[in-house]
Amino acid sequence: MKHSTIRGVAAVGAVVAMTLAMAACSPSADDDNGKLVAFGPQGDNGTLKENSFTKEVEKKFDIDFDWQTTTYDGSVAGEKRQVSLASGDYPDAYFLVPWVDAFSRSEILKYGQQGVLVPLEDLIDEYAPNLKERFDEKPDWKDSVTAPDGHIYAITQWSECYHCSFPSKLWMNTTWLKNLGLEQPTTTEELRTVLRAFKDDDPNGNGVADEVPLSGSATQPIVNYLMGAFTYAPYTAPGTPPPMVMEDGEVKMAATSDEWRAGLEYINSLTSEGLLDAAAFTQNGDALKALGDNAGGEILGSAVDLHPYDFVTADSPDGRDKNYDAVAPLAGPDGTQLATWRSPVNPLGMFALTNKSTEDERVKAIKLIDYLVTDDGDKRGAMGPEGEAWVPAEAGDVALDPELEPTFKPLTYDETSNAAWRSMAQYWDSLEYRNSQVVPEDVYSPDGYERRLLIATQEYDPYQPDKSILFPAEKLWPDADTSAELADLQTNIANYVTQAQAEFVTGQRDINDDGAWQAYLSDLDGLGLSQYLQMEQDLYDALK
Amino acid sequence: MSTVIKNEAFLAEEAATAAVVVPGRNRNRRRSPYGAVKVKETKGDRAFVIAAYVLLTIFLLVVLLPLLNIVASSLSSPRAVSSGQVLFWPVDLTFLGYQEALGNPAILRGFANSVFYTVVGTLISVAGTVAIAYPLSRQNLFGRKVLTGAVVFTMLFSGGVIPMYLVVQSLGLLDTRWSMLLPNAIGVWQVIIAMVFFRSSIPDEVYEAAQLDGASELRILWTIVLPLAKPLIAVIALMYAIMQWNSYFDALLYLRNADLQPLQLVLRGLLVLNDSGGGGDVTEQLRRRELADLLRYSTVVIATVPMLVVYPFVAKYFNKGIMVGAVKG
Amino acid sequence: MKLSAEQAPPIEAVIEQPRRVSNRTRFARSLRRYWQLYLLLLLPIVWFIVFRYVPMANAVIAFKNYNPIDGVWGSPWVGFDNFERLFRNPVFPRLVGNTFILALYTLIASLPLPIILALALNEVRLRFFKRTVQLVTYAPYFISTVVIVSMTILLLSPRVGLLGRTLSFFGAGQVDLLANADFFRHIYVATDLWTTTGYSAVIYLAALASVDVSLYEAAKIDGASRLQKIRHVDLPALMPTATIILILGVGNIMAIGFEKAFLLQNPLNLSTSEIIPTYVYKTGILNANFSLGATIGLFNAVISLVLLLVVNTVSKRVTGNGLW
Repeated sequence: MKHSTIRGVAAVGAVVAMTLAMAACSPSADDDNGKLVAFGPQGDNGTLKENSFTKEVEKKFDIDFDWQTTTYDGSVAGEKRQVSLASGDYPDAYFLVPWVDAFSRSEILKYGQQGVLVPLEDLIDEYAPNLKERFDEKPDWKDSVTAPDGHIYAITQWSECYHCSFPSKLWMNTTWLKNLGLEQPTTTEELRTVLRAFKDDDPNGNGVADEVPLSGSATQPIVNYLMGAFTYAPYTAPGTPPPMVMEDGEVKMAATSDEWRAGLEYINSLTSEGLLDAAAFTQNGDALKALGDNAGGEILGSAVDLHPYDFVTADSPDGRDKNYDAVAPLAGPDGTQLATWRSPVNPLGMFALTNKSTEDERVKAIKLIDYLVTDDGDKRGAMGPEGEAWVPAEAGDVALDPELEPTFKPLTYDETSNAAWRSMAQYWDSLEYRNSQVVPEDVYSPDGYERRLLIATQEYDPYQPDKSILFPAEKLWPDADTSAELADLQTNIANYVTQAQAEFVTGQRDINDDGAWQAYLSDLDGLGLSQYLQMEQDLYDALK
Repeated sequence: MSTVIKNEAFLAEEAATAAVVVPGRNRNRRRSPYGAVKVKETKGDRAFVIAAYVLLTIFLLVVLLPLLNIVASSLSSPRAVSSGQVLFWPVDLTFLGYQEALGNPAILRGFANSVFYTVVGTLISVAGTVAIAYPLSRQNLFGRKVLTGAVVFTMLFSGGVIPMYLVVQSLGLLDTRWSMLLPNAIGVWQVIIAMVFFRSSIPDEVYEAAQLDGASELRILWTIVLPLAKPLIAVIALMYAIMQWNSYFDALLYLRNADLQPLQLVLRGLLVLNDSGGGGDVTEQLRRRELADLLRYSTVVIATVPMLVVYPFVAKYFNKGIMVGAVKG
Repeated sequence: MKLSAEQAPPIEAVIEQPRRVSNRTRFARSLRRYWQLYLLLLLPIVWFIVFRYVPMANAVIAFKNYNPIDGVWGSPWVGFDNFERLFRNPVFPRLVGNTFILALYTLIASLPLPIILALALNEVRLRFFKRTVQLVTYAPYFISTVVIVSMTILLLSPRVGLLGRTLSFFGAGQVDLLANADFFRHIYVATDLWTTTGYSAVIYLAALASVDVSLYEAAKIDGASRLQKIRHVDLPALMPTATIILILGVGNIMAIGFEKAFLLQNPLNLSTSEIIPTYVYKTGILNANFSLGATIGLFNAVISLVLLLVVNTVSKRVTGNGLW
């Protein structure tokens, strides 16, 4: 009968299709004819294939690259990488960029243990002497890339951005302070006085009470800066754990302590007086910048941000971008004075080799990484050729850190040039390297911006917390069995802490009400806080 | 109803006349013997029309003003935009945003690719949609309900990104133009809409008449149904064209060769690269951010304009006026 | 029909008896008559099998602890672990609620406006005005979500946004709508309406364009006012389309996108803005788990299927229109 034939054909067709799909699942042996299949993001300034640094490296190390690229769009780049892994269609090597998409620690561990990522430590020992040296110089680096089983499955980029290590800075309008005859505040109460003056005493002199004393944006937590006067506030961002600290080797939640509550009370008092802009928790960077750039005259008194050009445009016609200076962390009622510190250790993995690569390819790739951590390789790979992207320092040039010998001067960034791998090659961005670049001495010009940030950061340095209270979230390795549950707990708790914090500070929840605070604590318990802390404790203990 | 009729055009006209679209208040087709009759507009009706104009003007303004803001921002300096000075007209006129985007050779290539994918993809999609929707709209087709159910089921439950990737890979379509044209060729929405249209716009009398005259199924489809279905085809063609034009995720996933990339992918990459600020020293980051501010709006405009240009050509198929000619009456 | 042995007719005299027509026969008949249509169907069906049903088979990874080396079929089977973890999660009920409410609100709110727009366009004569309105209202569909959200947030920001500036112009106090968790849904839906109304109206315009002109004439002759004409000619013409769009929308309800909600989130609206896709994204950063994504997909699919069947049945009873 015809219909059974049709049915039969359809069935066979389906089976054939499924078999094909199945066959695609098992990764085939290396059949890329000696080409090094490399995965990495590609910009619009030209292809990685045509990039002149690629060509140099191909010649130098006898590599023939076959590029699998993504765009710099982080969310989709991540999907592409994961899909390529899932389908068994993955490359020989990964050269990733941290702020686009890179291997998370749970991925590194998972793929390493499954055998997808191959261990690198022997290769490093034998073929990467410079990298070994660097590892010795920065033991934190080596520690962070070594998995609990002793293997190194992926290498992270080492970036010691000095000013990034204190991400929550308060930038205050110095001109306004001068106009009102005030000094930069040093304590929490002095801040209140200054903010009140900003609000009431018309520092911009236009006769209208349009000043916004203190603001921020949803992506730059104001709480971190102000909380430092009460207790230590670790750096938090989407995807990072909720604030946790160490106390005598025990992991504790920072956001449930009485000191934390006192801090929230203080911040809430600023908000209810109109001194802290409640919109700071909801507005985006554009809105904050609109405050800073306000066409009708300066209205922003101060803001918490990584750097001022986030909220005010560089080289403003009325020069207002020069008005903002950093205020050192404030001292609280009991003298606590801490600055939020961010570790230079990046938990992600950028360079990795897969089991699809041949021994020969692995050696060449490791040698390439080794080259990138030398001064020459770093400059050439990350910036570009000498004379085009940078020139050697001349006599009379001053390094960013004046105490260091200046080494090179970066030239104006040309976005059309395709001569360097840029972020893809920045594996050795150490403090000494960064601070020895030549930077103009005029701190208030856009060119001298790095120097301005350095000087601002130096004010925060003395208030670095003692290392013993820092919870090393970036160094922990997740446990494959518990990582799924940990992810759930962490997301729930971090979400709740962020939300409750914003609600307490803006007055949607009453911080002064003991009942409300108790409800908050018991909610956290309900979300599995004690279980979460125990899991983190176990991971921390496993580090030793 | 119909005697032996040789001329198919006449057949089509008869059929079209017989096409009663909906159960309306007047089932009996009253044809005025003198052609269209002009009936005087009442006061109530005039007020109604005015209300319609007012309503449409409100719609227009609500949509237009933010759009003007986007265009104006794309032509203004970043500082003017960020300080809130730009409303509906550019401030500090600058074409730099467009120069940046259009000067990039990748953009032109992306544009050409997108045009190709859109045109070819739409053709394939429309053909595929009609090929499945038309048969399934015929009441007497055995297995109609099961097949329709099977089609709708795929809308609810998809395998996900990875299984799709595996299929495309196993078919050897990775990094080819086909990977842009095939995996999402047929959309269940469009199929259902087409089915509903066929079912409600073409009454059984048409089929009976045609069959009595000995026309084959394919002939009926080609000479009678499709001409009547011009509005439908215009609509689903537009929907598919828009889908193709806007797509970038498939391109990201399946394509490696930069020469095959569509416009959206290029634009997004351009924008994100600069928007993230990214690594490098602060001065470099700042310069990139400035570029990003310029590019954010100009890329939107560049991506949107071609679709706006295309629309009027398609719209005439579903605006009344053209249809009057196709339907006798 | 059973006959007793004595009455059994001779074999030659074949009497046409009313028989139960078997499916095989009906299929054979249908095939014979419509074989051209079945042929036409063949290619699209193959497409559906290859590009829709085969990937579904691979979706069994929801039940496995997937790893790339073993592939889909080699990964260890963990059965219902993924589902269990999902249901045990204390925030799961709220996630489902948020997702569902947001999607339902969007669906219902987005039904009437395109219809009204199409009907209004149908009533006006001025060609230029008509074309302009169509073109302009359809344009927002192409603007990326990122730009739309950033503009919306800027618009609603106290003090500096358009809303804020209007309020201070009138001397009214500032209000931060973005900080209001309830308002999140209104903002979400409003941006959705702004983006899709013009585009959705296109389908209705096409349906209206297919209305037989003689129906309008007949209505005029009967002395119907415009309002009556709309009620009795236009609206019925749009009913099938509108019903189908509603049914399909319900079927798609759990497939709400991740991007817009994620971009509109801020610490103060998390209680309503955290929906399933954004939550999966956040946990995915910490623990890349393909199986979880597939599990959620299955969960969504089951809900969608149930809803679809319910709505389709109800619709058929009430309006006579349905998907099948």
